[in-house]
Amino acid sequence: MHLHPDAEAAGVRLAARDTLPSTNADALARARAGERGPVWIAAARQTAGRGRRGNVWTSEPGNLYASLLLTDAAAPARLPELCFVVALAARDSIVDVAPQLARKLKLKWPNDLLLDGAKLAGILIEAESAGGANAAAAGIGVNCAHHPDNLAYPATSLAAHGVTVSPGELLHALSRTMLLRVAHWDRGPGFAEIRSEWLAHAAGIGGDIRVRLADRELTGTFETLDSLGRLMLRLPGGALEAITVGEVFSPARVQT
Amino acid sequence: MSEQDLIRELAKLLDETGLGEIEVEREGLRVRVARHSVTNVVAGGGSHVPAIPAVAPAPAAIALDEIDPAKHPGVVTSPMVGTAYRAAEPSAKPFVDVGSVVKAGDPLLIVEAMKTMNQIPSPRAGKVAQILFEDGHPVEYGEPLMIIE
Repeated sequence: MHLHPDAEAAGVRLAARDTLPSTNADALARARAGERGPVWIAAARQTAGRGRRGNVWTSEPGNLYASLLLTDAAAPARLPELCFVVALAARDSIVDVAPQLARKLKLKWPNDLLLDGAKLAGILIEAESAGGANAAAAGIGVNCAHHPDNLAYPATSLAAHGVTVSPGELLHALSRTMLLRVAHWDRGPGFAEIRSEWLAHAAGIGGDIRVRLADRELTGTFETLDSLGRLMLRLPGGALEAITVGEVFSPARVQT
Repeated sequence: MSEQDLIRELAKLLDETGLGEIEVEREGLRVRVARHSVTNVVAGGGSHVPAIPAVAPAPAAIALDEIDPAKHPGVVTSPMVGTAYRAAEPSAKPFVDVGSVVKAGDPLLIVEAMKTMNQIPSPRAGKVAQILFEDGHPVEYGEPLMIIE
């Protein structure tokens, strides 16, 4: 595996491993040991790949599992913006390797990537104060060769759409698109443009959605993102709800 | 006299006397009325506070100090808008409980926003005196989360 020459020239490093419990956990362990980003951690296989709040991310060889460790990426209040930056970079990288899929690639709030309405990639950002700095690990899983079945939200892979791409080829592209998007964001000032571009590729804007919260489910119209990146949901009664955490479903696809 | 009436009386007194600040304490309630400072008006949490702390209007900004955690020197506030969790994942043990002894940098809680999990470190060594948020509930920017003494 190699990073794109532009990323290498910018001082981004790569640690590629055969097996790791979790690339995010490894990135944060490095930060605690004093390592500074930007560095990519990639693994051919994860034995304890993770999604949000203890969810498992199935991690068989053939797909991309990688985390970018960033040091002092932004002020803490602005760090959640990073998820939109990473989601756009992930989308860009897939357009790079498979331009014919561009029109079918949509972003699902806050930061999943959909291909023809099914989940192609997931992103989980974990941040902590480590080694005297603020460390953020942006973990990305992309279904290149295969995808899990029987999830609440249907999944797909590049292979299922007739595209053969190795994890190494995809990381090569991703290391370049991430470099560009992070520079564009510029630790916050570029977020207004990142937000506009995210909206331009978003799934479900203006349509009815369901949002599963920790303790209830809301139905309404997905109006827009606010300036913080929160999902603005217009409820049937007319009130506007700002959502920071929730799982979005389009009504037609809800499985209970 | 209700809290509101008391505050109104004190604010009037502030204007009449031209003083910068008046503080009254009685029955465990402390009310401080100040002319200039910009403070939050809410004691305790609540999910419908605006994301950006409201700027109190001049001339008199009013702070209700009912053992106001925001004023406590050991307060830890939320660095962002999100949802706060006491443990790394639902099945895990909480990072800390009331009475836990922590070092500076030890994880206290997680605030999640836009699928970004932000572990909040203890700013100082001490003992967890109060936990002011409910597990899995929304928190606002600057909301008091814990008191470390």
